Amino acid sequence: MQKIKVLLLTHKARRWWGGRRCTLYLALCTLHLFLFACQPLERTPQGDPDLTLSAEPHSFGGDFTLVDHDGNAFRLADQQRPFLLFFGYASCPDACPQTLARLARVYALLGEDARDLTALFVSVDSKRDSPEVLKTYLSHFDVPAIGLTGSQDRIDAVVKRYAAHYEINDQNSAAGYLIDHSLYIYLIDHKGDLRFFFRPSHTAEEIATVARQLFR
Amino acid sequence: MYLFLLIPLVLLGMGCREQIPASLTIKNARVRQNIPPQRITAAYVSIHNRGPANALISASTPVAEIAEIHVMTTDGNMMRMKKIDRLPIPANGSATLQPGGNHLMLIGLKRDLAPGDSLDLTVAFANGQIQTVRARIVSNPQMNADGRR
Repeated sequence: MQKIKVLLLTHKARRWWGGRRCTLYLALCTLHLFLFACQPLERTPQGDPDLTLSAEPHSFGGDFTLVDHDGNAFRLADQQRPFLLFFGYASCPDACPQTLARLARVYALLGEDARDLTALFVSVDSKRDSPEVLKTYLSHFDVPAIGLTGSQDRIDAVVKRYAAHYEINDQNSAAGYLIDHSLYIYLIDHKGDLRFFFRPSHTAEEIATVARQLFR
Repeated sequence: MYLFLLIPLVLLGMGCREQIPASLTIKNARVRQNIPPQRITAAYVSIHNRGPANALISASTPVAEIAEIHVMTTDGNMMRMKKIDRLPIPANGSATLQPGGNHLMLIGLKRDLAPGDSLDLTVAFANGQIQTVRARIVSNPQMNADGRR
């Protein structure tokens, strides 16, 4: 008796399946198409979809004078070469080495195209980052970089000009104070104008794509 | 008929598995090479929890004076770091410490850490479990490739 019941159920299930197989197949196809169509959107959740360099410079950024890692005065307007500028501090355990490694990848991608494009590491930690510390620190990355420091007032003025932000974060860490800071990378042309700023979500490939347009 | 005998046996077996004490496994322990002259760096681990809710409460290594648990959050485009006393690990879940995110900050390194080398990293949990794992020292570019960004 039970056997018959089971057989009957199997038969019913088969009939049900036969009738709906096509519907289910179509539903799966639609789902696939939907997922496929959504893919490009998911790839860059926060990134700037527009990676073209506009002819007009940004209204912020601009000239400043600090001290370079050899102890010489560094005025942006006198340089006549392009830069990738960012703010950080040498005792930063994760984010700054991460940014420098990302820049190393940008330089590897650019190769010869990098020409005289130089990275500028502006320290927001004048108390601990002397020119010597910055020079040794930066020599450990495959990035042509200049470390910049100065009085905290001068640094603060540059931070403000570039709409960056930092906060000394003293919370009894054995490392002394930590510094919370913004993670933008700024692309500056040979005239000293700010042409593009990259967010932390921009990949090395995207940075290289935009930087190449400076030399066109 | 045998099935009726088998079901309680299987259930009993499953019950026994529940009796095994909660266990945490540590995987992928690695340390970022330090950048001289800095005497600090970051270490990362993946913690898998097969037991009830737990928490990472401390870490240590013979090569650093102190290890702290730091959580990192990105608030807009601002990176914020905070020292915490315990990092919760959900029941039957995991906690992943990785470049560009939460990490163990190693402070007061007693020597430079060269890529390819390794060191002992001890982690302690709220349930009393203490475990020492071998953490490999990874170069900065490789660590970046491994990270979130």
